[in-house]
Amino acid sequence: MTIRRINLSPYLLALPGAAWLAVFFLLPISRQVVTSLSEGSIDDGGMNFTWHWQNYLDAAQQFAPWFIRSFEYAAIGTGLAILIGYPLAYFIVFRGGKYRTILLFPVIVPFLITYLVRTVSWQALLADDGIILGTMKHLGMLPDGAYVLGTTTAVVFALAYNFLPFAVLPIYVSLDRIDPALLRAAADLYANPLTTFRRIVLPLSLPGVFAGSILTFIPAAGDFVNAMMLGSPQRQMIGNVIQSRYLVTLDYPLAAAASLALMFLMIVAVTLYARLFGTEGLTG
Amino acid sequence: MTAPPVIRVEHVAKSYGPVTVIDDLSLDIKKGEFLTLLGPSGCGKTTTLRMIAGFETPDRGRILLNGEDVSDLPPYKRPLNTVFQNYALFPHMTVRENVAFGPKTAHVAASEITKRVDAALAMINMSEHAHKRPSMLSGGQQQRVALARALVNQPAALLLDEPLSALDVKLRRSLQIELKRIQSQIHTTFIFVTHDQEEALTMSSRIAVMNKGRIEQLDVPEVIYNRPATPFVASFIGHANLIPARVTAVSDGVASLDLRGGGTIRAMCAADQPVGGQALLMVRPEQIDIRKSEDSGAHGFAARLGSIDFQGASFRYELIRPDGSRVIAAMQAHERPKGAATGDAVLASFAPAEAWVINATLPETTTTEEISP
Amino acid sequence: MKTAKLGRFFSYHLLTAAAGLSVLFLLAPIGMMIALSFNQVIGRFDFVWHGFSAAAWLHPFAVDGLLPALEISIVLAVIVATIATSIGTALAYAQVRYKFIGSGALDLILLLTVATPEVIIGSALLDLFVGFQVETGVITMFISHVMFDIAFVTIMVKSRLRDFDITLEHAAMDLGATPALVFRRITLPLIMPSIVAAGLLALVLSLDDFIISMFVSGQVVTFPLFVWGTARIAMPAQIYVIGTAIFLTLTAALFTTFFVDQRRARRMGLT
Repeated sequence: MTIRRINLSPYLLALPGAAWLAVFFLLPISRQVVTSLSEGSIDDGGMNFTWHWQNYLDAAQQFAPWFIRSFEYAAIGTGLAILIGYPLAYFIVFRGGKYRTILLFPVIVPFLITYLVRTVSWQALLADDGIILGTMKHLGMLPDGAYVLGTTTAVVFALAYNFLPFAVLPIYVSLDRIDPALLRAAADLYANPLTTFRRIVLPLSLPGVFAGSILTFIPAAGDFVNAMMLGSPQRQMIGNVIQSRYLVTLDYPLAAAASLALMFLMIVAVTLYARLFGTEGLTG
Repeated sequence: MTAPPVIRVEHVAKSYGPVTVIDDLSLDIKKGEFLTLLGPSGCGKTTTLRMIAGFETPDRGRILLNGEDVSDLPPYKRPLNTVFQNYALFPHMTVRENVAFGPKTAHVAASEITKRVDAALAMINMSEHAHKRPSMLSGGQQQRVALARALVNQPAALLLDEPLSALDVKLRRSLQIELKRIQSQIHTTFIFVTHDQEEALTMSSRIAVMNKGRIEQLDVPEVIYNRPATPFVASFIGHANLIPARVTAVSDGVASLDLRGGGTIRAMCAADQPVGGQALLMVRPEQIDIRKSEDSGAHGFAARLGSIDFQGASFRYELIRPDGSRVIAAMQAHERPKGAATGDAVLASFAPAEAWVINATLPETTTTEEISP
Repeated sequence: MKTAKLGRFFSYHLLTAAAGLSVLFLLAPIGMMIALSFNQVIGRFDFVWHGFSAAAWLHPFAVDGLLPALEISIVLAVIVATIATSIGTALAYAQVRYKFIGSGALDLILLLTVATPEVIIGSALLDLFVGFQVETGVITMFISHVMFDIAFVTIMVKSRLRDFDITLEHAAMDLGATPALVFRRITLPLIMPSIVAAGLLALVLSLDDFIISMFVSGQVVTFPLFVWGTARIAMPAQIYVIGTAIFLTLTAALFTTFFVDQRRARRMGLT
């Protein structure tokens, strides 16, 4: 009769990581929950935990336009990222041949330039007298007063740019899994290229589109850098609110409520989306 | 007084969750023998091997190595080595580094390692490939390196887990011969797992036929083939015709039988075969000689000819007995009955010495077709 | 028949054009960044080309505070990547090679840390540090960077370990190697490429992090924070110079690891 001993190795190996994540991820989030239900400010007298649900109502009331705008911007930015990324992924997979790996390079480029420098470069690109607008104005294609910087368009395109790799890579993977024999079989069965795309390729790549859109949407909805540097001060996102309330006005309870409300709304949005379009893409 | 076994498996059981893989298995492995665990996939043969190697721990029972209980020892503390099904050669090491891995780990002196590795590589004719990476070798070469890597450690026994199953038929035959040659040279105990009955018959000194986590029969290949203990063994090894019968008399290891569906014949049987009970007559297709039915002096049973199939060196005859049951006969092309055609009444004749009585009844639900591989 | 041919011609080139535009879109800010690093800057905010000048490249640290910020960023990223890669690899190994209580919960937490927007993580960490009266600075930044890097490292190494042929480990063990030796001589050398890749990603994420750092940096200024602070006052060409240098270094590192991997994989017949 043998008694199975408990093997301690996995616990020892997992301990540093598990502890780090518990103390510096789970604990802060729990702590933020406490703050969001507190009253007072860190300036005068400190905060008191009083089950102050009012913070959430206040946040909803005061910040509703920011929440709505964030989700709107993120949704449009995600749509743009898919629209821009899909043809590129398709091209790389079906026309890339032996240059596939090289062609993937532009896709991951946004990861290699420092986030802030990248945003500043967009500022330069879209400047009123910058290379694009300046040239077009010079050529008489645009009126002298035309501008992009400070508009929703600039923010939404920059969001699409920032998270484009997250959109393209899952689509690339799902297209890459399609057996080319399927395309030949479809052609053999009298489907023209457009029908083949609509009936075979697109349905098979939807899990990738699904995963890509979630991976793009989540960070886009929480972003505040693009709205701050490329957008109008009047049309900021919820990230800007959380950032300024925490770092400028030091109104912790309300900011914490806004942060957790964002998390909650995000979970609701992703769940709804998953219900509508299936969860296959998340795991596959 | 026989020598003590190298490995003794004692009442071992193993389950994965609700699935019992090994059910009270006991087995003695003699020093220097080539023992084969043979059975269909899922019969527990690989699990048995893995428990001997130390990759699995038995739920119950013990495993003894040279009389010492090793049930709880990890693989690296057992003086046994394995040749894996997919070879498991280390891709980042050369052939020489692969073979030297074991002795190096055991802190054998450098000069001794060189000597032993050279000898092992020479034994498998791979000396000139010593500097290559495994990926540059063919499947057969990789297999031989895996063998050298295990044998260089001079293990108490070598465990081989379906080592030839990934190779094509021709290569498999030549490696079977080579394996047998090496085994007879070095006298190491080999424990070989396979589902290929032909391979088992060719190579083994003893075969343990396994089914559903138990050993059905353990004996030398001739006995396994000619005197199977159970219907499963009879059907798993080659093709066997099994005809239900009643034993009417037994004398000197020869039984008289009344066949179900008509016919009285004689066949060999175990010394302790009881009289009066139900049993099975086993006769191999190649032992049956098809004769004209008026040839009444011959020993056998009556049947009608069913389909006749050409199979190259031989013909396969389907014989339909009066009760509708079917029997298969195989005859060499030159000895086949001339002018016999489907529908003819014939006599299926065989020598009593070539037929065998299995002291069991055929389970109602299984046909011989279902339990053959 | 003719219209079908025309349609095919059209769709073929439409796709090429669309892909080309996407590539242009992706590369545009890089081109801009490199161009502006050679710009002759006149005003404080100069997004207009005034002529070629290598001045910023010759004096990359002529801007006050830029060098210290860059130094902090690099030192921090190297230390963070080293620690996070070790912790994450150990975690991945435990999760793939063993079954243990809490492994499923860990999977969920790992997914959450990757999926939660940075602004939430950053603000929550600030909340924690303020609540426990920990002064924010280099240490809190180190803690936070390691935290978000662990999940990326673990996920990458785990996927490699799952593809890993476990019988290689069994074979080594069968040949007398203890688990520690098996890890050192077999597992580690074979999963090294994915550990290097994970380490590189961890480095990039730390070097690049702005949102979380903004919350937990206190008075410390990293390169992204420096750009943020500067961008509101003036835009010296040096910022583009450093941006370009970081970009080129990371690209070189990426290509090097990629080609080294390819050669190694070919040699071991893994392709």
